[in-house]
Amino acid sequence: MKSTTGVLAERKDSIRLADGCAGKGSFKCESKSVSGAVSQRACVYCGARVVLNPITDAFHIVHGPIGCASYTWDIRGSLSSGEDLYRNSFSTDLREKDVIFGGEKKLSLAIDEVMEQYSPKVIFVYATCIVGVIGDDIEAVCKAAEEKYKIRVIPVKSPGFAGTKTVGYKMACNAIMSLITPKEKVEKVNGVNILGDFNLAGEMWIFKDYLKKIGVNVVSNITGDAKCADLLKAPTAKLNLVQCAGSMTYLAKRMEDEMDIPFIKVSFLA
Amino acid sequence: MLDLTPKEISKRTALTINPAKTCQPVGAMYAALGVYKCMPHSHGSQGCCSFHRMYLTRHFKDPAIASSSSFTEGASVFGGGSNLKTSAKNIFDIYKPDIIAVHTTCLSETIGDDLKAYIQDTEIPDGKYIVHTNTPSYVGSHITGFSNMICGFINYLSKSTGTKNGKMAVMPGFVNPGDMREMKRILGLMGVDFTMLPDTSGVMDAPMTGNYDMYPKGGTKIEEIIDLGNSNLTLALGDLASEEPASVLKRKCGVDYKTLPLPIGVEATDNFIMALSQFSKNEVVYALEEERGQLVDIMLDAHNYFYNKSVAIYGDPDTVLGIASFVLEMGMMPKYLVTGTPGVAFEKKAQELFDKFGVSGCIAKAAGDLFELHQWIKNEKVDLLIGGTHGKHIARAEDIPLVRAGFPIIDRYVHSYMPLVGYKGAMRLAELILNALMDRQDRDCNEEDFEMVM
Repeated sequence: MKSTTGVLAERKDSIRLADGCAGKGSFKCESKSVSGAVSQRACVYCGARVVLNPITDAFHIVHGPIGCASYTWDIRGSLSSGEDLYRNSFSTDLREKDVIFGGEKKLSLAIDEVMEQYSPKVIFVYATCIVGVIGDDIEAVCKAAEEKYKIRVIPVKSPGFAGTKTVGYKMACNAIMSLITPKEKVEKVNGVNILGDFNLAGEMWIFKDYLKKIGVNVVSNITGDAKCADLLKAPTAKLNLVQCAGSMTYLAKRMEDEMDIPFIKVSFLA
Repeated sequence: MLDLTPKEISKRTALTINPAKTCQPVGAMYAALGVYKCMPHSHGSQGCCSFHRMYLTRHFKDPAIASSSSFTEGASVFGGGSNLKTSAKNIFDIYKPDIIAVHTTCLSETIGDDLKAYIQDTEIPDGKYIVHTNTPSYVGSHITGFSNMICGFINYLSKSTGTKNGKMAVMPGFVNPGDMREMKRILGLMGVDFTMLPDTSGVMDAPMTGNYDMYPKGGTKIEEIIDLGNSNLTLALGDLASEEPASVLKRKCGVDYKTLPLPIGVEATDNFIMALSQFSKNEVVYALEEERGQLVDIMLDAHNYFYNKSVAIYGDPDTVLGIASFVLEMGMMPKYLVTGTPGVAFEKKAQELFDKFGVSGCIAKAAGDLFELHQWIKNEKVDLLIGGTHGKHIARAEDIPLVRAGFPIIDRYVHSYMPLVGYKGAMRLAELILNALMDRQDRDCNEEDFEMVM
């Protein structure tokens, strides 16, 4: 198909057309989009959500206007062998009044309403653009909820404008570290963690099956088909296998520094 | 997850679970796509633009283009003015539209970007336009955004020269291209000269030609929007989506308007056609009379399969009310009507429908969500669900057939090319409902009751 539009000057180097633009073919990751681009790139919140959402038995509450939650409602195709809780969409649906007077009360009440109906093990609270701008202190709300209900309530600092999707991955990794960092030193077991596979169409199950056949024990999946109880065991593994380097290298490095778990980059594709 | 919905309903004021609406900007983007050679522009984070394009593409299975201001932290502190100026330059240079339709997001609204001022300061090439609308995502729903974008076009472009042009301005409401085509067909049959704003037929249901066209052939032309101010009358279909722009056109250019519910079902389509007849002074043509007769014939022929069956309808307010009106005409019970869009007008209109047909025990709720609907159904079941894709979890958990009608339908094909409006649309809806109910009967009946002839 012949190209009918021009190409942004800033992107020329990264585009090669069969008959036309012949860029040098360089990748430009993590650079900001050019304003006015018909871009398909996503935001920080999106990055955090796609990394954390596959945790099957956690509650994911999106603190923001309804859009952020409704657009990310069960669109990932990440499969679960157990709980399907994560396939619902929970939002605080901030309205104009909340934006003016602050949404912290509503978030607190939303967590109360979740606790009334269910007994979650972990709640993740995602911040969105608006929350970043109006300055809701979601860390404080989460801390108060933790003390009240004695379960982990983890804030994910992911306002959409604060960078690109990769910042979102980082924030999600920070949230995971916050969840799994043990209070005391743990005893290591012979096992690995698989980082950076989200079990889209069951891929995690295929990898685990291969590893099982060769006698390698998988301690936890991060985060495809993940269960909170398994995630909490992650610090006991002796090695991390990093499939998706983009989203998980940061987590792997942190785990190496703080939990003494070395990592290797792998690829199960071909 | 389907088992995770508890039967016991507890009051919720802060938590929304499984929403039945989405936010303003996507509605504005859809409206902008209904204008010829228009580039919708999302003034906010790049995530918004991507999500909205993705949502529309999944529903229409066609590309939805839009550009983004790509806000960063810097822009959020100092304002998005420079982002907008750079965007305008890039868009006109590279993508060459005739008009850019800017809508805001919660981010740009909250930091207080003054788009009118930014646009006035922007260099616009000759013969090109930039319009904007304010669409904060924490007010209303995507229907509000759709309505606001049309107001934006009218505010910037429409003019009255003093000479009427003999045309009707038609605002079709938040409907599919298939519906717009059907409305245009009926307008044509009734001999009405019209401009439809917006018109996404030929844009979001464009044919496959082997070439990619960034701006497909369809869409309202800019000259037509300018000339809207000279219309003789505005017909606003779907009052909750179309009344506001009609009233803006009246205030700006003095064009009288008439609001009608979406023409879904017998009576609503009758009223639509009578309004056209009044305008054009033409008699109702036989072709439409024939279609009406066919619809009534179908309703009579098949009534024993749907009469008295209960149905839950969820989705956008005008569409839900339209479908509810038709199912009442068929003799079904619209037991639960749910929309996520807030506003008591919906509940009032629903109650008027219930009173008109003399049904009781039906609930209508605005600003509701699908989790609550599921809980109602767990307590008192229905025979049928009508709405978008997001109800499929309820359908599976409670083993109820689901007829997909409305927005968004992201797990089926063809629906956006086909109408729900007009007599033809009602026939289609009747077919979908009957197939669902009769397939279910075939699936569940005893062997001896499994009939060849139904």
